[in-house]
Amino acid sequence: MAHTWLQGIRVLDFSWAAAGPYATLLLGFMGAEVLKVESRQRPDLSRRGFYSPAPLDASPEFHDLNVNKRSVGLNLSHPQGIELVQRLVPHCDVVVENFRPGVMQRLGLGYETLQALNPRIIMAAAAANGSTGPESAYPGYAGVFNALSGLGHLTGYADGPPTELRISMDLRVGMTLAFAVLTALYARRQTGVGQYVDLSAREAICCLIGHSFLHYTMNSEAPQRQGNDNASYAPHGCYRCIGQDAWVSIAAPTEAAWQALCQAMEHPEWQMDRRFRDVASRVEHRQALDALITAWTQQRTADAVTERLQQVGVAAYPTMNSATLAASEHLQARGAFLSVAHPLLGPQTVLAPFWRSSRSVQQAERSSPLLGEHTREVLRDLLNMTEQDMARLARDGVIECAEMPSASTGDADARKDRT
Amino acid sequence: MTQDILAGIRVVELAEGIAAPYCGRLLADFGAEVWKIEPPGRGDTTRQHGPFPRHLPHPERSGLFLALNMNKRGLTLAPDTATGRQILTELLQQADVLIHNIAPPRLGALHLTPDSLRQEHPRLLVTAITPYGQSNPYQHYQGADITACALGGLSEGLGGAGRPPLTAPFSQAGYQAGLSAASATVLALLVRERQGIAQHIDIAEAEVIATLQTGVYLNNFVFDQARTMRGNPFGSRTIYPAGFYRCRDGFMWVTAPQWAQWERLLEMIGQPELANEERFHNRRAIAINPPAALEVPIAQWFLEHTREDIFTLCRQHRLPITPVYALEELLTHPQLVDRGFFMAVEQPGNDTLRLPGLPMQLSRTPWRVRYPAPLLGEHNALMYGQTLGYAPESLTALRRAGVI
Repeated sequence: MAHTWLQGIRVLDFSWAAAGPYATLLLGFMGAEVLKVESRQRPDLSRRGFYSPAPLDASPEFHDLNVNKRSVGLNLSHPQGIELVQRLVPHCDVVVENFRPGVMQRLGLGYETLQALNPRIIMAAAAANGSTGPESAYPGYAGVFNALSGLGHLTGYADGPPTELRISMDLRVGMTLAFAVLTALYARRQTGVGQYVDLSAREAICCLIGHSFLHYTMNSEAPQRQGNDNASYAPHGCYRCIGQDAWVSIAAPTEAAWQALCQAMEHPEWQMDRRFRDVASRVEHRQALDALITAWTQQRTADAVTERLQQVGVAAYPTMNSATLAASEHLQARGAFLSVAHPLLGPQTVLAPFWRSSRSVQQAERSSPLLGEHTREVLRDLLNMTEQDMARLARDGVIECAEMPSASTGDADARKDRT
Repeated sequence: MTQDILAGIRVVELAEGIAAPYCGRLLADFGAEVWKIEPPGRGDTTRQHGPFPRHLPHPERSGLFLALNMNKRGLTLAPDTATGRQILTELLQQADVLIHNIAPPRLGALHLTPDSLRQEHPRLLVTAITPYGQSNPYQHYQGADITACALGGLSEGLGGAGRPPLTAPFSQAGYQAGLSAASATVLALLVRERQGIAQHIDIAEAEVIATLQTGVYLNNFVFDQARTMRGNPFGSRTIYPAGFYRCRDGFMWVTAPQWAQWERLLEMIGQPELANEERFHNRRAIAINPPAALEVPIAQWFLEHTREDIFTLCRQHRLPITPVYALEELLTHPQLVDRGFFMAVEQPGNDTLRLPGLPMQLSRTPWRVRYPAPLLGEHNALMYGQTLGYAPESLTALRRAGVI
């Protein structure tokens, strides 16, 4: 049985790029029906590919983030397109958007309007800085949230620049948004009415480094980049192993772990070494300690180090790279990889969402949609629209229905970039 | 009118560290009644971690503990004693949710396996948060944040070529897993209401990081046959420029993905003619090894300006270029202050705690601060005495025996 937990919950999804789509991807995996509103004039950014250019209907990055969803081709720059959205809202439970604040109001789709159409509607907005405040109008991308939140400042080698955490920034925001929507759905179950959810991507990332702020608020100390060092204990780091660019990550937070580590490395005398006798000394002499550990790990494979240290209860794991992740026994055993066939791309591996439940298994019900693939079906089923009406709307450029695969990569910018 | 939406939901938190307590706190912030169980005597391990005011270690003053456990009630209990286990059963009979961070071997010893819990408490929802999860060949492995970042693939992609992979700072896996677990728990509550079924949720910290990261690497592997993303400041085939540039007083995050933004960036730095050079038109190709003819003037221009001046100019040129803020700057940042993001938690007998709130505002059912983190065993008398009906003398005996 696949997840049917949110069966009957319909999400009207205006979001694009990665953060919003990841939130609705999670809701889709929970069983919600996600209707993705898009158009050829304004396709989801990921349809063009994040890493290499892709045709609108054959982007692996879009597929990763949009399985299980349906695509409704609606032109929001056409007044009749807006009218159609307003007619769909009474049939929906949740609206998700990550436009800049004010855009939905300008389109005639602000919360007040939608609430009047459907008091049970939950509207979740995820803007870079939230929908209020002096910087609310600023646009944002993943790299921007990272820089604005303090996380970029903290990530990196002690002697190097800040570091970007790449697309995982967006997905962290998306996960936070999904939590907020679930909470609002639970609230609606109790109160019978929807509400407006205002999420700030920048704040979502701040929360994930929550206690780092306490160093400043308590002691006026400003945490800085510290590479792999842990301020409160050593050893803690990534150590070189046999093999091309192979590393193992090791942490020994307690005295017991430190003693077990010395035994496993067959250097019990290190426990007596004055430089390493307690946690404060080990932190002080961490460089010397890391050199000794490296001398041991670099004669072994990362797997051998992991096995030896885990036998004695020390936290260690090979530092996975793209190739070893794809082949990870652990992730396979956990069912983390799902295979989903795409009509143009063929079988694709996508990541299962993060939870495992005793009551159902992870499964992707359907491929990511072609642009406008479900326009007819949705307008017919929800709005009782006739074929003639839809043909007219399509002719007038109000709706778009999937045709056979398009090879176009989009607008003039992309052509100029020749990407 | 606003209300605490999870009011009336009773959660027993048999957990320590970061991930599971963060899950408990998110539920508590929305009004759930969270009963936190700590080992008698020493308490949650985070009580020893700090930061502490003026660096003076004290189990009731650890910033990490106070931050992760506000809005909860505190109990002490040793569930590995027979009486302690009996009391836990009594607590669970009153609970809707059990949050724990216990890996399978110890779970069996405590008679807390999914099977025994289902039998004893059929309506109880259980959320387990462990480093590697409840069911797999590695369930007994020890974990830390750095190993979750290692297995999840996050570390490998961060850092410079030839240098060690970098772990993410400040317990990213812990917070992320806690957030994931809270989402799954609210979902399970919703499902219990809608469909009447109770379920057990299994969250693995390493896997949470993997689901955020691995897709990127899989694509990278499939398209480029690349083993690593490390050492490539511009990521895998992104559009130049995308990186950190040093300026007079720190760093800026610089990006201009749309062509019009790129033209405006070159105009801003006084080099509009560079946009016309055909050899720079394919910005994905030049991202791999950026030409000096672009890098030098861009880097030079940023070095000559302050973050504030650059940010102002970028607003005028409609560019998504952003200062990199240090934590102390964020605490007084007008945007975050205006949104009331940082909260102050009054702590009787302690300094007021200032820390980030939650990143979302729900218009009808907002989160809120109700009370500070509990002292060790602060609510033993309330729960064991008043609610479960233990007499004062038996509480004294239990305390002497190390059960509570």
